[in-house]
Amino acid sequence: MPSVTTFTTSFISPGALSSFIATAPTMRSEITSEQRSALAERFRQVSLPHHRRLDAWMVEQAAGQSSPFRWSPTTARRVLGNAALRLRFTQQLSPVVAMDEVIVDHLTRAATGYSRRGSLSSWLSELSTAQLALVTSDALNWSHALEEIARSIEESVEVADADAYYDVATARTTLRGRRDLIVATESTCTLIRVRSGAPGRTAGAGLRADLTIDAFSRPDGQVASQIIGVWPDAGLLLRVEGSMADLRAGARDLLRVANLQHTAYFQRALTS
Amino acid sequence: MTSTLDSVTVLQALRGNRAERPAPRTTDAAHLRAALEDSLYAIDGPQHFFNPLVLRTQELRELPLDFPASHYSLARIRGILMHHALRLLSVGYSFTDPFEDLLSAWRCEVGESDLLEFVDHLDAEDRAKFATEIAAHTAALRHGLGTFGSGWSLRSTVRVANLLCSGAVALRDTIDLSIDTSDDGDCATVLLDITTAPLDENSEKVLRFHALNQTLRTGVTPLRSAVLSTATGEQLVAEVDAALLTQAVADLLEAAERKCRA
Repeated sequence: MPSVTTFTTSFISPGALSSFIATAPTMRSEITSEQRSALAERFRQVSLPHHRRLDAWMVEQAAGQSSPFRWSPTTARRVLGNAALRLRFTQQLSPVVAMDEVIVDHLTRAATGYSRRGSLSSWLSELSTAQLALVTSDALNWSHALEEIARSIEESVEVADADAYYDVATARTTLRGRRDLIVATESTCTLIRVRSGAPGRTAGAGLRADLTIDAFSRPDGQVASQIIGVWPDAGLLLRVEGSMADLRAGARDLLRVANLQHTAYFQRALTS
Repeated sequence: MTSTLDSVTVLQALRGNRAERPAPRTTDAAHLRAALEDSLYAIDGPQHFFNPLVLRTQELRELPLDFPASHYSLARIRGILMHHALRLLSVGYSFTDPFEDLLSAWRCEVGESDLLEFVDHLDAEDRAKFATEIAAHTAALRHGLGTFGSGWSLRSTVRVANLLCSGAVALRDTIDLSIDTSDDGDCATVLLDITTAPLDENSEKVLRFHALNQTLRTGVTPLRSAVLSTATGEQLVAEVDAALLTQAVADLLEAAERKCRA
């Protein structure tokens, strides 16, 4: 009988997140090189002529069409907010000073020619002061929300340095797993993802995909004990445990998206 | 509930006397959720599983607003621009030309929109009149707000999406400004809503709705909730206590009943 994923939900309240972290499973699974090869083989079967990037959002939307990406205060807030909080934790700066440092760093990169066209630095450098203030305000909101979550955890927390990326060998596919906070204890590792709005019916599958990508991106293949999705707007927490069954389900979801894209691409090619 | 005109800034009123702050209340949320879910289920039943019954601040109003279309557009735009003004003021921005600054900030956020197009197509005279109006509202906002403390944690445009009855009912809200002024674990989150209309009975309902949503969202009851009118400079400040939250539940149930009947 196939194992089923167990999603655990809770309302946000003082101590709720800490209690999820304290009860993380201590047994941790590991990805073997055979499993990596098997995944690559499956992705190669549904590859596209061009490079593609898959993430949890595409799993949640079942590869549905989304509008083309453009930088806006909303799309920039997570990158800037996470960077500012990381700086605040390491250098003990005030939230506003940390955010200013991050933005100045981006503007300097653009001014000295170290940013490519279409990057966040280049977009920020084209904004007026009022627009930059709006971007700062949104990023500070994100940073405050993330800090509030981090401070509600009793264990020591670190802001993730970057998202997890895994290049599937010779399948022209990159998997991107988002993670905002990492709580590592002696025997457990918890990933935390902060999301806007309210969780939909596919939110659990999205978290499972992030957990899977994170495990594949680690050279030692260690799977995190659990991933917790935090929806501050809805006051909800959702937990997915890092069992091998969850990992397989996560990989299947990602392959399903790849397959949908593959089918759609060749159908378009046939009709045109 | 206190309604004042210009005696103290809204931030001073919200902050109050630090020595008199109560300990944070963390038990209200569960009671409120249970009370709301029981009553909402009795009103609405489980029929909204796929299309949840959505309740927002506008549903609290007993009579719908009845304005000509052009007036409605300008009023909406004024509201949007004032929310942007609050967001900019919260990061210490000082305006040179409020109308142009706010319009450019709004454009950066939404890209293209029908309302932006509406502003772009105003003739020179209407545009100048509207720009003056926006400058006046911005000045009233700055004056009414006062100064932010350097150690405060400010969050503007806080979106709330509380799901009740297993998702069959959704409470959607946007709190214009949430300020956390705590430094030693006291109850210190205060909420602010701004409106470009004069204050009325509905403002009290909005203030209570924000307090209820914040309590459900975070599990901690906020200290105070306020509404500031940029049209008159008037402000309404309330301590969030059990009576206020009970009244917020009653307002919400009344709105749900009205919406289900319609």
